[in-house]
Amino acid sequence: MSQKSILFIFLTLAITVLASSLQAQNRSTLSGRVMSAAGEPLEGVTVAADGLNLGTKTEKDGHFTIAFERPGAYTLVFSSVGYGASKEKVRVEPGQRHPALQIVLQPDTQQFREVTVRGKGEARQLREQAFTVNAIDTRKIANTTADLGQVLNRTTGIKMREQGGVGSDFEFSINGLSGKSVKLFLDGVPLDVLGSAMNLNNIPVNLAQRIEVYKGVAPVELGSDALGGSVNIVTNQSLDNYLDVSHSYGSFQTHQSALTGQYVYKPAGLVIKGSTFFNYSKNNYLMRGVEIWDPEKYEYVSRDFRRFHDRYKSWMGQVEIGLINKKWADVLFVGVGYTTYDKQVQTGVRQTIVYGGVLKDGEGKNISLRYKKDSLFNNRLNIGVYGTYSYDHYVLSDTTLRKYSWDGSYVTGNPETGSLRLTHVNRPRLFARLNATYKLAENHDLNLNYTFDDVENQTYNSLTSSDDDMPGKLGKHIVGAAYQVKLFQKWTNTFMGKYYGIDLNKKQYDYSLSKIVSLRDFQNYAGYGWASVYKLSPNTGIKTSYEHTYRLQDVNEVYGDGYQVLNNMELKPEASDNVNIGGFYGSNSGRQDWFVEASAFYRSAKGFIYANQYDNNQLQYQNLSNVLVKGFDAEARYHYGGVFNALLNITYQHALDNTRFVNNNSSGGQSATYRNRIPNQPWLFGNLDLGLGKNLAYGGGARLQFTWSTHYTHWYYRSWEGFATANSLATIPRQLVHNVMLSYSMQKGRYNASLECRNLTDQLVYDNFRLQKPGRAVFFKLRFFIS
Amino acid sequence: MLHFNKYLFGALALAFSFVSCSDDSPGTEPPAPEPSSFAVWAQLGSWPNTNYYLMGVNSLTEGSFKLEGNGIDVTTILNNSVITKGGFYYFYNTTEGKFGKYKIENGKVTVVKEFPFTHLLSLAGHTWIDDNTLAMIGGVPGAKAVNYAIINTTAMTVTRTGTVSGLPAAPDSHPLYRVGGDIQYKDGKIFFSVINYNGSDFTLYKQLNTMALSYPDFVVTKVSTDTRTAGLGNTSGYYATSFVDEAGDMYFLTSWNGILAGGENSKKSIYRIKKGSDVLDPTYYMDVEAEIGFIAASGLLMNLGNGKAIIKYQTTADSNTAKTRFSIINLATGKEIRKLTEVPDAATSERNVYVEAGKAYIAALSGTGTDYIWIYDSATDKVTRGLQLEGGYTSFSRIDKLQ
Repeated sequence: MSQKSILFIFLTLAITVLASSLQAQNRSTLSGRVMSAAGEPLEGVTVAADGLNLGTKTEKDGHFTIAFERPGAYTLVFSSVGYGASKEKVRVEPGQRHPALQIVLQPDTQQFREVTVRGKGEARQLREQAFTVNAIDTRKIANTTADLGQVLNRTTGIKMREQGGVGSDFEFSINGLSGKSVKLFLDGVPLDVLGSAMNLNNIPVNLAQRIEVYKGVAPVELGSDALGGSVNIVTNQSLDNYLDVSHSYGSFQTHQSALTGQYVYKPAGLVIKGSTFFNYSKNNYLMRGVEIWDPEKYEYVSRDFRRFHDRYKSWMGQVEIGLINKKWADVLFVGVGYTTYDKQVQTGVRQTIVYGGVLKDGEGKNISLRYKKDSLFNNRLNIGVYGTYSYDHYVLSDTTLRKYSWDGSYVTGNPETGSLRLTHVNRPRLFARLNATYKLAENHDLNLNYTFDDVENQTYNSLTSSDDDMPGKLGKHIVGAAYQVKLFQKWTNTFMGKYYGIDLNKKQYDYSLSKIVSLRDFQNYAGYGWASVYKLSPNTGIKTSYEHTYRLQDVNEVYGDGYQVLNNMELKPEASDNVNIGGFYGSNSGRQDWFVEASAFYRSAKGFIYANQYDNNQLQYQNLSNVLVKGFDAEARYHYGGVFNALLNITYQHALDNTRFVNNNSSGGQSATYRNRIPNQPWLFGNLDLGLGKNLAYGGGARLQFTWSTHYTHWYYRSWEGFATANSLATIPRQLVHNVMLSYSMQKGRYNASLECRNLTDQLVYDNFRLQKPGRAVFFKLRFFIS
Repeated sequence: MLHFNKYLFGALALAFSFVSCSDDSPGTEPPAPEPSSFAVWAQLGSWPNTNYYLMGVNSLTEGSFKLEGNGIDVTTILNNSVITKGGFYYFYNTTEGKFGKYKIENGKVTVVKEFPFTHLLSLAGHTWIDDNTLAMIGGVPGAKAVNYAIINTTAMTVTRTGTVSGLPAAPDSHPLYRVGGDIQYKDGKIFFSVINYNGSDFTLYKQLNTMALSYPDFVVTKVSTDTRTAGLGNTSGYYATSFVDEAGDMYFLTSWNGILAGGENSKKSIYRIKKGSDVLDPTYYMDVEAEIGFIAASGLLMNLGNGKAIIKYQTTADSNTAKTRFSIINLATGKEIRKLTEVPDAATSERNVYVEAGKAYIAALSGTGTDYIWIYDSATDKVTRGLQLEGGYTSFSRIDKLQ
């Protein structure tokens, strides 16, 4: 099936659904308004047709609309917390609009006096779902200067291995699977669609309202080929006015600013929302004991130097304007976005490889359209459509022909990265997603998701050519369907099926024809999964989930470049069978609140794609290795009112080389490292957070909060443990890092100031072999929030 | 005062205990092992953790060796492009911009001396002028010239560096120079070849330019050409493609090849420069495929003495999937003597043969899990089975004499 035909089907489907929604408007509808006794419009009042599976909720202005499939007499029940229920008999005539109802609810003061609500936040609710999820409510840590990656690194099963300071390259793993195995999203949209400046290590916490990490098994809404898991950053989706502005300044000349805000003009249902962040850091932290040539002694000696070529700047701006609460749309937004970054590169893969002229700069632009309509077909169908076109461009430059030393001096030499280059990478991209949920019956829901992601990859060195005349193009079509059923009110099951289609298109030079030819292929794969949770009590449950999932091939992995990288039409996607089994237990007593969760996981990932180098220096991407990961993670949280909180978590993962034969051949001699522990990968780590807070009598709702957090990573081997002599076996040393933060808030969080110290004891910290991370660093942050 | 839950104290106690009790190193320094006579380099592990280990053995002719706990992990210090002489390794680390001298002792690689060095884009070829003098050549950024360096390996100082002068002019259609590992020092002169290629479609210009250069100033004094091939010897360090025999004649193999315009592959051939001559011997040309029926594999032509040489060939035409075998050739005639059918089909590897006293010691990675060093004696024309290697490796990259 061609890419264009699938896009056509997608558009047809979207138009059909939209047409159906309009058709639904022609049925008998009844509208009205619900007010309080004082004449104020009431929002969120439940309006239900008695005896039918039909209902809605009132909007901000108290209005509601309800559609009936058939004419007849009905009783509408109006109810809301804090108000007495009210019933209204109505008669619905075929194909007519009826006069608006005016309902007044009386306050139920008795209810207010007697009921104490102990609510569960969205993050807690997610953790009690069938999927194995780390859900982090970033609103609670909005005063920290940490970026999202550092926040995630404190949760179970997650490892963020950074090569340096702000903006440095990093490897993010979920339960031992990393790189292309893990997909990142912002409100369900792949993060890299917004530009290569958008990444976990530069997005401030204030941009997010919540982060969801799906381990191994992901819901179909996140339509992607995520082998090891997905991270979804959720922004503020409320329809209220708000403004959140913050700026922090700290060690290594680090500035981080963030602004998110929204203005709603209610009479017209007009909304303008925007977000922006700016990061700047010189990253000139001290490198301890690095080698430098001493010409007097004629030998290398160890000295301490500050990093001198690691400045990082990034900026992002995103604006959306749209309409809400229209009959034909709950939400319709158009948006534009821009991202840019400017990065100096200080080292190669080890700190002995010192760069002084390598730069990486990029920018991305995007336009987007977002549409959402709920409560179609008698409140059974909700649909959402999202589409965006983006253009991302970055340049890696290495033009200095110098060899730098840690003191910043240099001698004339070779290209620092090995090649003289101004490598341009352009990625025009079209992304579209349709999501629909349909309520089949009470406790039976159907979810359908279709994602189309088409990206072209143009790469060229502008020192030798002006463009890429042999670009590769990859179109991904991912269809996911999920059926969720709730049995006995305690047992929720989600059954999932996924279709993966990839359309590969590459231009390549044919030496025998002496011209560029076009190569094309379409491949199909099917995935499936199941997630189940059984609630033993409202706060206790056990759950399990399974998914057979893929990471699809890239165009260049399949076709290569026709010269240096050979094509491999036999290349398969990376595949994995992922299993989670876990449970959670929550309890409360008085002001105390406990929550404990634990999960065991199993990942059998096969056919990891790497470039194999042949003797003639040619490369070919092949399915070269298999990995088996078994492990567990556990977390306990405790709250004592608003006074004290503690968190303790631990992750253990036993990742084994599951590649039975050498080079992953189908037969032959058993590989020496078969069933050996995978080296160069953390396998035991944990976190401890302690918080102490006090609400102050003055300052109009002031609060003082102290937080201590400790992160521990056990040491691990750089290469295979079982083969080397002890003297030659390199290790990445243990990490024990303590961070502290003191924050002061006034007027119930409107004005905030915080002082944070990371790596309090100034430990020499490594995530990678011989790549030092920053030592002690202090940051001060001011934040203003109004809602 | 807060009323802490007793479980909280338990959790905190557990937390502090687990963050404070871990040791920081894998163990204590073990006793120093006995020095080894030979090093067999093995690459093993699944991607991306494919590491190089050096197996120190005392004999290539007998016994067995198992890597477990005995391999010297050289991954972060050396790679298999090292140059070896007198029990030392020499390595040009292009990414760190240093040249070093190393020794294998106490179960690890120790640094004898390192100094900054950036004069070559990478090491293409090397030859020994004498036991203390190493000459190296390599490309330059932009590929419009060839650089050289002369190192005193005893003092570990740079004696001389510069750019080769007098290179033959490059054709307009193929303006870039490539240099390989076919360099030798003969008759007080340096000999090596260059070819030209195109930087856009990377096709080769079908002409071999073999040069005689003055030493130590690397001025080209004579150029001889041949249009039957457009290859070079593979980069030395990794490979061995040239030598000067007992008679003082230089031989080299053009196994580093490529595509010519129109998609044709250039031939892999053996050439000779006679003692006292500065040009290719017009009476000598060995088309390897035509002579032995198989295409020469990457980079292995070694002198055995007794007028014989060993060459590695690939068993199928597709070099990327082919296994390799070995053939013995008569150097003087350029004719095949016989194929070493006793040695099993083996993975390509790189410099997996060591030659000493007329014997070739071949580390053939058969892929069956148990392998051997196969010994070919050029005097008796017999193959025997030597040291057993328990494996599951990806390649045997080198065999070197350590002392």
